[in-house]
Parts: sequence; structure tokens; C-alpha cells
Amino acid sequence: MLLSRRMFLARVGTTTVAASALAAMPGLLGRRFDAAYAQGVDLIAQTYAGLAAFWWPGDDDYSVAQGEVANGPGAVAANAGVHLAAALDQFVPAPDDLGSNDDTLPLSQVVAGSLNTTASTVNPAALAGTFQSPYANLAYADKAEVWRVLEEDTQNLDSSGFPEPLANATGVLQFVFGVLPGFVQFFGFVEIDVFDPSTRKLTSRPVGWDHAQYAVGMGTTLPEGWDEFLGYYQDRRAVNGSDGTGEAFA
Amino acid sequence: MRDVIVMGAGGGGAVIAKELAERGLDVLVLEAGPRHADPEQEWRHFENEANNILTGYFRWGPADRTKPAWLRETPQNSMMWQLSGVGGTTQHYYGNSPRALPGTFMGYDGADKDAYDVDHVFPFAYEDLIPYYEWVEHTLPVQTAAMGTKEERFFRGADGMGLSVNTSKDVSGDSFRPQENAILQPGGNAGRTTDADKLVYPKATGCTFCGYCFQGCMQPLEAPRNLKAKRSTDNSYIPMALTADCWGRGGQAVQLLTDAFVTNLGTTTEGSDTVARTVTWRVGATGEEVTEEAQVVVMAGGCTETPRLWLNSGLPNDNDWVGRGYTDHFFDWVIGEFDEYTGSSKGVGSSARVDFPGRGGLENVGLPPGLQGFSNGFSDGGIAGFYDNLHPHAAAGADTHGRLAGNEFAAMASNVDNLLNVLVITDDDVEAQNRVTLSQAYPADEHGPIPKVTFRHRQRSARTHANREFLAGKAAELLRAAGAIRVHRIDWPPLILHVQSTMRMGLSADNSVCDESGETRAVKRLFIGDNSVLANGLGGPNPTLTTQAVATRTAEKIFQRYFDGDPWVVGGDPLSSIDGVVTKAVLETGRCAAGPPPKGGPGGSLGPGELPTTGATSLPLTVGVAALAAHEIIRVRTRTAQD
Repeated sequence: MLLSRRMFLARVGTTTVAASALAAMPGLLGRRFDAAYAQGVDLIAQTYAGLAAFWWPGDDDYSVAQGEVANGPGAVAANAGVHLAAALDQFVPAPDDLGSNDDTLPLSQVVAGSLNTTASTVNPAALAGTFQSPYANLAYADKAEVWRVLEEDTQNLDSSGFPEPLANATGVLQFVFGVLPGFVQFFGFVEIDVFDPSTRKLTSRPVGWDHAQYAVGMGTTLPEGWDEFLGYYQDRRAVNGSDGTGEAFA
Repeated sequence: MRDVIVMGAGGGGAVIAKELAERGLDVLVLEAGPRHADPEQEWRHFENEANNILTGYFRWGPADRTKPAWLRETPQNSMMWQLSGVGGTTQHYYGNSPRALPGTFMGYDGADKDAYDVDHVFPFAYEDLIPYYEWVEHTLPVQTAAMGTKEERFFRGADGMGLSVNTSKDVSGDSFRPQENAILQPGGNAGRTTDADKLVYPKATGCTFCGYCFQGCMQPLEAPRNLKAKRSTDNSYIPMALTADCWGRGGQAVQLLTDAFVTNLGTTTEGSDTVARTVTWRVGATGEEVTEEAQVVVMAGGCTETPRLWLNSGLPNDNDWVGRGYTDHFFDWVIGEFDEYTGSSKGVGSSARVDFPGRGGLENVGLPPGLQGFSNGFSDGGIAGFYDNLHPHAAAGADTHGRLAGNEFAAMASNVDNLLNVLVITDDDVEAQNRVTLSQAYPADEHGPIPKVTFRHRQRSARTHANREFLAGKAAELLRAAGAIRVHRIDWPPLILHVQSTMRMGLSADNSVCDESGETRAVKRLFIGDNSVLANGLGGPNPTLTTQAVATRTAEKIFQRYFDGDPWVVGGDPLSSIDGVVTKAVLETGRCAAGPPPKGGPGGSLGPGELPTTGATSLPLTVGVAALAAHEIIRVRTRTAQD
């Protein structure tokens, strides 16, 4: 059954839908909103830290606040949320009529707005808490519920009746909230936070490498090969086609 | 006028370019992305540096990494994982080179003939393609994969399921086998040490088991470019194409231009035919537009960019099948946790597979930790233990369904070398609803309206869904038989990586773009040379080898039809890309390495901002020029030339 527009907007919030759609449709933007972005830096940073803690908890304050903690560093220590926000701000190139085509639109604040708006509907008490970000104030299960609303309920939104380009709102929401978890868990386990672009070397060993027990004993470098060769299955090094001609040119 | 212009230096375009250059034709290859001339200096083993889709050196974007990546609209939970640059997405592939399933070809009469997508078969017989497979398998070359621990575990599981071993290159029943891979088998110290000093060519040859197949292949270090282990086209066909004048066979080296994004394909009229004539590209570094004429044009920009260029060029689309019929093998991902070592982060990305004819297949995939994390978080099945994203009862024999979060994820990710991943590769149907169009929501970029890639994955055919569920269940069964203590089905949304059939060849003109030769029905002298020309998803096998076999066949058709040449494959004598004469040419000419290349003429390799010295005409760049405007310019120019 399709969720009615009214029910959907009440659940997710008109702001969320409109903002997400707008962010993904830069043709509608008459101006950039850098000033608003700057004012919301703490709120945005906390939102992404709360997001990182959900997908890979550690012993940090955000994990403690959500009630799902783990020994040692997690995604917050790896700054996975910071790098996710940066990636979102690199995702949508600005249209030419808004300036240089080499600019990109600040999508991270829109996504953070979606998370915080939805968090306040899932549990209004999250508006008051340790952090400015309602999402970061949620308990672990409530954070999962935010994701369910954004990902599952949006499947039932029939936005096709909206005028273009809002007819695309469902697809934008599905795409954004579908792929974000994968990127958080990617950034948590790669070298991005300790990579020095000037030397193209690492300043320390990534948090995720130690957690995953990856390249143990290799420090901040990675090997050119491993002593992992076990031979050939059933000692077979070559096969032919079924007509016996696979090695015709050998 | 050039003999042939090939647009795209990826898995298919490089093949056609090399084959026609070897026959002595004057071939220009245009590549939108970077050259990657010196991997040992340009690349690193770090995952984000390589594969951040927005900033990595392997991204769909310009060579200048300070500029943003090129955007595609994907209006659903999904991700396109492709890249620009010489080699194309063969930079990402694991060299897996299985042949297609015979049941996906015309005239197949096996007992299981009804198990396939019978409405969209190849317009020729499987047996007709065998000589072209053999030609490519020798040229790359394709070899039986070596085994590491993760393969040993996978084979243990497949054997435990009661499956038989396939000892042929062809598939005729449910079975497992080592992959046939376009990866050189390890020699010398390769695979036997982590000591970097011992892993330098020629102390080591072939695959060193480094585990970074998804990040391009530069192993062994110091090896000539054509002797790197993985046979991505930057290491195989492109070195041959650039040295085709050196082997004593009457060849002519291709000219390769990188940072050259094709924005328009112009046509003229010959009798009652519309005929391809001009190619216009934009030089990324300067913004300048350049146009050349050619007798034959080959589109090889991939399943998304080829239909985009067609539509942006205003070419005919009377049956509305340009861009339709996108197949992607509707992947899924199943992770097994073990209480023993699997070596998942080491060795070739995938060296073992199971084939289920009429259903698809499974293959093992080893990953470094970042991609392992991504492969868990990328899901259409909700969060395990919380919600299923309206996909109920989908565990398919696994312990969990959907992404892992919180401590469950932390536990799974706590030892990457105790995991075994199985990729589900579905035999998916060609469906008109899955398609490439031009985006209406996003503004055009500097190359024209951007592509919109739509996959209605929840509404795919019953056969496609049934195949996927069957295979996900088999993956869980295999992992348990291999010894997994816990199994997780992630339930991926479309990961648009194996891509096929958006400009498909077919038996019927009603639902295809190309005839059996790969020439487009609507525009003569225009051929499709990439995965998009494949008639279907091959029944599940990885597409690159079949694309390359079809591309070889297409090159023959071009040579016969438009250059009065003779076919060369049947009864011919292919030269391997690792043959000593190729190595000698690569080393002596320096055309495949960094540093000053020969400029301008054949064998040259021009980079950002450089223009060819022959044949090209510069056009003034109009600010904000759109493809349609460029299209009009070209049409005017073409008419003027004829007048």
C-alpha cells in the first residue's frame, strides 16, 4: 500500500523531502548557502559522529551516548563521519550558472538535516541532550529506527505526482540513505585519515587496519606480495575447451 | 581522414584498436580519462587513494583530480562503480575470463534450453564465437588460476555440496572450478615471500598475491608494462596497439589521445543510409573542441556513456531500444565468518567459481578491509535485527539478512583474514525498464546532458528474482560446507559493475540496436565495441572475455566490410601480448612508459592539453556549449565539407 503524501511528509518532515530534493537538483538553487553551512558546523559534525558511532561503535562519547559501545577505537576515532561529510560535499558538481563547474554543492548539511529532523520525530526527547544534534542524542535502537524511516518508508512514497523535479524525491532519498552506510564503513577501514598528500605516505597506522588485523606487522606500509601461493587445484594448470581446442594457439 | 576512430580505451575498444592496427589501418583511440602511463609512480596500494569514487585515481572523472568527478543520476538505491582512463574498468576487474553460457546463443538446443532468457539470445551460434574466444584467450593470455587459502576454503565448500569439478573452458552443468583468469601464473619468488627485494621482476614473474586487483596491477615491480600480472587492457591490448608497427606483420601503431571526452558523433548521408562520419571531443585540460573525420567509427565508452553519446548526438532511435535492456547480474553478497584463517585479503581477487547453468554463478572474492566494510554496508535489505526494508523472509539460509551495524559489524570486521565472501552473479533477464536516458533533474555538464541510469530492481522479472534467491541460498550452503560459523546475506541493491546490453545486438530489429556484426542498424559505418553490444547478460559469467571475443569478431567484420580485407582469426596465428617481440617493442619504443612519448603521429600517446598533429580541426569553444549545439555545428561542418 502506498503511504499517502500527507502521512509521509508528517513522518519524515517537509523540510527533509524538500531539502533533499533541492540538494540533488541544483538547477533549483538560486544561490549557494555557505553562510548557513558555516553556522551549522558543530551540529553537522556531531551528526556525522553520531552516525559513525552507530555503524561501527568504539569507546568514544558518541558510542557511550547511544548505549552501544566497544572496546577500543571505532569509526569516530577513525573520523569516518568527517570524511563522509566531506565526500557528500564533493558529490554534486555545481551547475555552470552558479559559478565554476569545478565547485560542488554542500550536500552534507542537507543530509544532516534529514537525520536530525527524523530523529526529532522518532524521539522528541532527542532535541535536548548532550549534543546539539538530535540524531547523536538518540539511543542505538532509535538510530536504527531513523534509518528505517528514511530508507523503508520512503519506498512507499509515491512522489511521481509531484511536479518535476520533485518527482525524483523518492529516488534521491533511496540513493542517499541506501549508500551512506557503505561509505561510513569504507572510510572507517581505509587510510584516508592518516594519509599525507604531500608525501603520499601514512603518518600512522589506520585505526581500521588494526581492528581488522590487516597487514599485521607491516606498520604503515603495505607489501608488494604475500607468501600465499598453495599451488593449483588438483595440480591442473591448464584446461581446454569442450571440443579440445582451448589450447589451439598455445 | 582516419580509417577508424575508436571512442574508449577500455575492455573492448582497446581490442578493436589493436586488431585493426595490426592489419595496418590508421586508428585513433580517444580516451576521456587519464593515461596511467607510470603506475609505479602514480598508484599506491591504499584503498581510498585508489578507489574513492569521488577523488581516487580510479574514478569516473577527469584526469585532474582537483576537479570534481563526473555525475550520473541513479534514482534508486544503487551504485555505479566504473572508471575513466586507459584500461577502463578492466583496472578494477579480477581478470576473471569465463566463457558465456551456450544457452544464451542462437540455435542452442540443450536439454536446458528453456532455462535462459530465450527472447534475447545472441544472433549467432555459440560455436561461431569459439575461435574468437581462443584468439583472445591466447592474446591476453588467459590461464588457470593459482590457489591460495581462500580458494582452498571455497573448493572445500563446493566439494562438500556434492558439486563436480569442471575441467573444461566451457560449462555444461552445475560444477565448480578454478577461474580461468587473465592473470599470469606466479613464477620465481611470486606468491612465496613478502620480501619486497625478492618480488622485483625478473626475480618474480606473474601474480605476487598482493591482493590489490581492484586497484590496478603494477606487479611485479620493474616488469615491462606488457608483463604485469593482470591483463587489464592497459597491460595487454594497449601496449600491443601502441607498438603494432614493430612486430613485422605490416601493422601501424595506433595514436592514443587521453583527456579527450567525445561529445558528439556526426553523420552524413550516402544514398538512403545515414552514415557515421565525424567525431568531436573536448580536451579536458583546455576546454578546446576538436573534430576529426573517419571512415568507420567505433563507440566503446561503456554501457552508460555509449547510449548517452548516442542520445546527445541526436542519432536515430526509432525502436526506442537505445539504452534499454541494461543487465548487471543483479549481484548479491554473502559473507562467511570462520574461526580459522582464510587469507581473504591476499592473492587474486577471485580465483574460484561455481556455475549453475540457467541460474548464474558464484565466485569467491577476497578484499582489503575498506572494501570489506563497504560490501557490508551496501544493502537493500535494511539493518539486520531491526528491519528488512520490505524484503521479508530473505535470509536464504544465512544467519542474518541486511547490513550489520553496531557491535555485530565490529565483530564481523575484527579479522578480515577470517572471512570468506561469495559474490552472487545472477543470470538476469534483459528488461526494457532497466535503462539509460538523459537526466531531466540535473543540469548538463561540459559534455552535455548527463546520463540517468534506472534499475527497477524490485520489479525485475520473476525468473531473475528466482535465480537470485536460489543462488543466495547456494552461497550460504557453500559457506557452511566450507566451515563458516556464521553467515550473513547482505542483499545488495544494484552494484552496477558487470554491465551489459544497453546497445544490444539481436535477432530482431524490434528490440536491438545492432545487427550480428556489431554495426548499428540505424547508422552505417558505426559499430559498438564495448559491453553494451552484448545481447544479454551471458547467463552470469563475467562479461569482459566475451566482450573481447565479440570485439575481435567485430574488428574482422569492419575490415572485411569497409576495407576489403580478409578475415584472420580462423586458421590465423595470434600473437600473445607477453611474447618476446612485444616486450622488445615496449622496451625499445618507450611508448608505454612515462616520459616524453613520440608526439602526434602513430604510436604517439598524447596527454592533457596536447593535440594531434594530423587530421584534426580545432573549433572555438562556446561557453556553456551543450551537446545539441555542438551537434548542429558538426552537421553544418559536414555539409560544408560535402559541398
